[in-house]
Amino acid sequence: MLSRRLLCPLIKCCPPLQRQQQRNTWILKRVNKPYLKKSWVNPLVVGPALKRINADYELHPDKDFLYEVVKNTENDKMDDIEVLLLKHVKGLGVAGDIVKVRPGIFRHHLYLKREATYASPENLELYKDLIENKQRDINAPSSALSPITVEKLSKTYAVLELSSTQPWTVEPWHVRIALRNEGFIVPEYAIKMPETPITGPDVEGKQDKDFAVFITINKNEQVAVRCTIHHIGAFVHDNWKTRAVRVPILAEQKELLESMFSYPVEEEEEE
Amino acid sequence: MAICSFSKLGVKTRSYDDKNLLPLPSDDVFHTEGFRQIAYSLEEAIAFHRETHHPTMFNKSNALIEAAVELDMRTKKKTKFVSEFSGILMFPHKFEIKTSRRIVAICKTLEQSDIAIQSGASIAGGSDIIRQIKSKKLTSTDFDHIVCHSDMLVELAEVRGVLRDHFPNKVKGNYGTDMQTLVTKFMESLDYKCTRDDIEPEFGCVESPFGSLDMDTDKLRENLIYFLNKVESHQPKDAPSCFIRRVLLKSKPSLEQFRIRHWDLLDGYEDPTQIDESEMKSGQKG
Repeated sequence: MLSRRLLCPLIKCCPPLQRQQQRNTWILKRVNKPYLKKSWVNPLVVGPALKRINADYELHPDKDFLYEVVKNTENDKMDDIEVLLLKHVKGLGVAGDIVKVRPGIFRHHLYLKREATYASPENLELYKDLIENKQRDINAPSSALSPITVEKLSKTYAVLELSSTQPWTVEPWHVRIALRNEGFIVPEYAIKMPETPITGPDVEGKQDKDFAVFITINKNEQVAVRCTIHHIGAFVHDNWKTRAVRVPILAEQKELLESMFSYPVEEEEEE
Repeated sequence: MAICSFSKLGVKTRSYDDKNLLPLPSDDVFHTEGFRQIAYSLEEAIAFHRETHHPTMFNKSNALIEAAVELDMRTKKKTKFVSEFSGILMFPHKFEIKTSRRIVAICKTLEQSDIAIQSGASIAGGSDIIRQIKSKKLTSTDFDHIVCHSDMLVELAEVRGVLRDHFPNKVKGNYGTDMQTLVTKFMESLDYKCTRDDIEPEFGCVESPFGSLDMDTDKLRENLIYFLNKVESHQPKDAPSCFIRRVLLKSKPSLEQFRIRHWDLLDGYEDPTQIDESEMKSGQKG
């Protein structure tokens, strides 16, 4: 065994094993003006006398090597970089799009998964076909945001608050208001209602029961959305989403509603 | 400043700021989370509220429509803010609203006091009321407004120190010669008050109803413009920015609230969305 006394100086004199480069710039400024030949020229002294006065002067080892930091770019925020997408990325774009992203997101996520490359002239020529065939792809999402909208819409319960005294039939604008309360902006032409009309008021038969509507995003993707009817003034449990198995209003939509997303049923704790 | 104390208290700011929010997408169906709040026109926002009060939904066609005006209370000095203010509103188009008003009328003759009580004042009288105020039997908790005949102003000046804000002045307009118009003016008017808290002194809010949903849209527009102009008159002259930040329309019992384009209704306001676009274009060129 080597003794500690021997090892410690050995480790100290070795260079560190892990070295990383840092892309930064330090802008410095001298504290003292050094006595250099050029900067101390006296215009009145000419001729042979010049040699005597402006003799070569060596820089002082302590005094003339003092610097002040003006700027350090290490902590500066880098600009966004342009990348070429190779696959459909949720929230960013379709394959073949050139988008701007944060450099960290590109280096640590997109580039490692082969979802994007640098949009250099060489890469643009290499993936020429991908960029040209971008619009012909039928399965591609209609916009960068549409996959996220589909995901969010399929997990929402649109609650229709309808009158418990006046007669009504469910119309598209009722669904539009229900979705607006959940935060979705949906035009009326995008909503496709079930074929059999739903009428009311029917507190016993239709309270807290479901039906499904179809919504088309950008006239392309179609999503089924779960809608629930709540009568104004009728009692509703706080945990109505997870209390029991959801019951459909229309018998024809039973299979469709079972295949859609719903929260798992939680058993209530008995006191 | 104030922003430092938020993190300590764990309170969110109430003021709306769209610096970190994204501009609206071009999709026709989208979720509004993370995007800037949509600014509707006044007609659209009223139409939305009429939808929710349709007979098949809330079934309240005569519901009141309210405006919540968010204000920038900063002044030229960094440590000084606009203090809380209040006033009364006399809308150009009237609407039904249930309010209880207690008005004290001070006048010289018995005929005048009879007229005042007939038109709605709760108490009317002469020097006996001034005596009650002097002995603090009648305090500011017992009434909302004081109306005074101009003959009695000299006698009322004795209790100026006790009345303070309630003392008649020209801006409020609560003294005159015709008692009937004076009392009816204060019976039909609405109060508004700016609320502010010490945690965030640069944010103020004024809320008041300005009409009912069964009124014409043009009448509602005139009422709202009158209300906004009245609020804006409280801004000091050398303020660093525009006074009104955001206007929200609410209508109970529906919980929805819509931001409206208040820069279309008032002069001296610029469209904030257009400024952003022009900045973006100039930035791209540079």
